[in-house]
Amino acid sequence: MSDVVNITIDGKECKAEKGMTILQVALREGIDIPTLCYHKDLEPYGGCRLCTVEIESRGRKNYVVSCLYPVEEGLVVKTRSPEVEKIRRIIVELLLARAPGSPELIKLKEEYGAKEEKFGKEPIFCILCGLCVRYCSEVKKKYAISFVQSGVKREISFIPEIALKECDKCKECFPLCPTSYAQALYLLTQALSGGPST
Amino acid sequence: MDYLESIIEKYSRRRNFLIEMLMDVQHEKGYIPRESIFYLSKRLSVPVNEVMRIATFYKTFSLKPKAEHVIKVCSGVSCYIRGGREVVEKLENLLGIKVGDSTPDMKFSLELSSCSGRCASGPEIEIDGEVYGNVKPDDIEGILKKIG
Repeated sequence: MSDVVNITIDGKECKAEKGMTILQVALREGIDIPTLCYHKDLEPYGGCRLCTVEIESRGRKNYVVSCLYPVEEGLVVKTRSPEVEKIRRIIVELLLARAPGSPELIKLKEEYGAKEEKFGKEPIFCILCGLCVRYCSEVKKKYAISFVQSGVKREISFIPEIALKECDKCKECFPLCPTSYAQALYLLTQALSGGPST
Repeated sequence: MDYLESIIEKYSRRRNFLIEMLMDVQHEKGYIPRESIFYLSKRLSVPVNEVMRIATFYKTFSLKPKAEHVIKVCSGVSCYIRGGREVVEKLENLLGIKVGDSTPDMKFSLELSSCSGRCASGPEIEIDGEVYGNVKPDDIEGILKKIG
């Protein structure tokens, strides 16, 4: 059993180790795949679906999220195709409805020709990419921020008991957030708990 | 925290029984006290945000204490189109609270319930286990007065 597999991304033949994901190989090869919820130090999450690519494996065409899909021998990947562009455009349009004005989303909107008004605004500002929650848990091991509720009510929430003690000296999740919502929510949490703890 | 210790022991301190433990807490206290989330997290070595996520994910769990009388309004489609929405609005107005909350005197909690299959007698509300069918917004004041 060899641990090296040969795959083709956008016509370019690449060697990859077993267990790598399509996205990891593409990043190594300098092939651009847009992402919002990917972070090199975190477990792959598959939350934003923006890294969707077209694959052909054993003669079948399929659309998969490249940040989760493990490479396999003979895999043919297209990171751009009319279908892929369409999928990404709709994802951007849906996310823009939640988080209008996010600089990262606006950049993607221009790239994919997405229409901002397509789904009507419902500004919640959090796109549930989970970067803050996962970074706090996996890298910092402080667990100061959590997902709460389920379904359409799902949102992030700082746990004041921990956040007021730990967050002031860290704040590393703020720049990760594609919409600045994490920072805004932290300030709200502080204010609701009687101002910054000293 | 004695009650938490006995719940944790009941499941041999195994973290994969976290949901069962939370259900026992809910059953015993009528809600999930905030301290119990931190306590379970510490004793089971499960991150607090993980316990918080689970405790808020399921409708069974409530992080707020329930009042003396729990009013459940059927939120099924049949009840809804038969006037359930007006019933909820009336209850919210009379009690001065929103669905999911309790009155400040802890007399009434208002929540939505799923369809119980008695669609023919909708809209339906249930208070402390007693079922009221064909409820009209104007009946509600009388029902509430009767209870407390």
